[in-house]
Amino acid sequence: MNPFDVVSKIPGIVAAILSDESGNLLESVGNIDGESAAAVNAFARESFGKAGDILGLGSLDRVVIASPTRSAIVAVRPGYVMSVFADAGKPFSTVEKKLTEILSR
Amino acid sequence: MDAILKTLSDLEGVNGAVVTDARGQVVAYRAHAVYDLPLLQQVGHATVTAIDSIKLLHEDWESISAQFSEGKLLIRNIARGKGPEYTLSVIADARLNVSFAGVAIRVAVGKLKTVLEAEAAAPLGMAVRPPIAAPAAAAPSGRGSIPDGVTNGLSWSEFGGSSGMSASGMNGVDAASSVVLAGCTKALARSVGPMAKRYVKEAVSMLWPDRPFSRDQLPVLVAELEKYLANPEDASQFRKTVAKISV
Repeated sequence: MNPFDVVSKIPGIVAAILSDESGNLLESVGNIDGESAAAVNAFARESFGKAGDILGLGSLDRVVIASPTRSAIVAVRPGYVMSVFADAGKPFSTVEKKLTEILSR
Repeated sequence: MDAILKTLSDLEGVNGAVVTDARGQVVAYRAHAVYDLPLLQQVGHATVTAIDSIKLLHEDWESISAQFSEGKLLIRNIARGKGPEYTLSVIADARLNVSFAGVAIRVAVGKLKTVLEAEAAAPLGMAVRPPIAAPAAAAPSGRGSIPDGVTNGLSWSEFGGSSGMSASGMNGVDAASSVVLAGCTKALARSVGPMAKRYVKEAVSMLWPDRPFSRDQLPVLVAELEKYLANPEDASQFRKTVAKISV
């Protein structure tokens, strides 16, 4: 099964996006502007990657963003970027764990 | 502020704690000796760039945690209502206990908010965020130590007139030179903020370690200070402003 299909079925998430490293949208599900989100994720990935390089922290694995209304995980993998969104109040650490587990298979 | 950052940097696995403004300028930091100010400024700019893009999707973001293969960058929004934005970034390695650090960071953010709000409420001209901690003694071990921060305590009043500059150790050779120095600092501050005072002081100390600044040395000083202005427009504006005050 396509990892994106599995990820998009993680309980608690409201949207999921798959994009390439340049920010081009490959797949998306849920209530979100996938094109914009894919571009934002790619840009953030590049900027955080630069920060990590400067600090000697190695390669970027994922970025977790929390806000009162919505949380998101942007997972960076060779050749693609996968991100999932969940509404506030959901047990987001569980989603993060599931996503990491799926992407490491 | 330094005490707050020290509490964070004392945590196991924390290699640095940095407060930056909305432009990515470091306003305070405490970090291992390997993370010097120019490096942290670069990180600040990269981080702000990332945050600016993330805000398009998460305008009300509270925290961002970037997980790398060999460490973490934990960023917290020090939101202060409608005031200027600041962020706290904690640089950590794999030894960090995330749960424990989360509590410490939350406490630190609360305290930083209080400090920054108090500064914002201070009278104009007295409330400039003090420049950052300076790197201190060399690390005693190979891994590096967290030096004690030293704030230089400069304030705008030190640059405000021809006779009020002795406290900073940045006297001009005469009154006119002191005025030019003060004007140069303020011109630079338009682009780099309160860090300008430290930059000017360091530049003068480096260029003329054994004599006071003279206004005829201004071109050399300007050339040195332009190194802090990555944006060509800022550099151009800085040159124009300084040219006016030096006439």
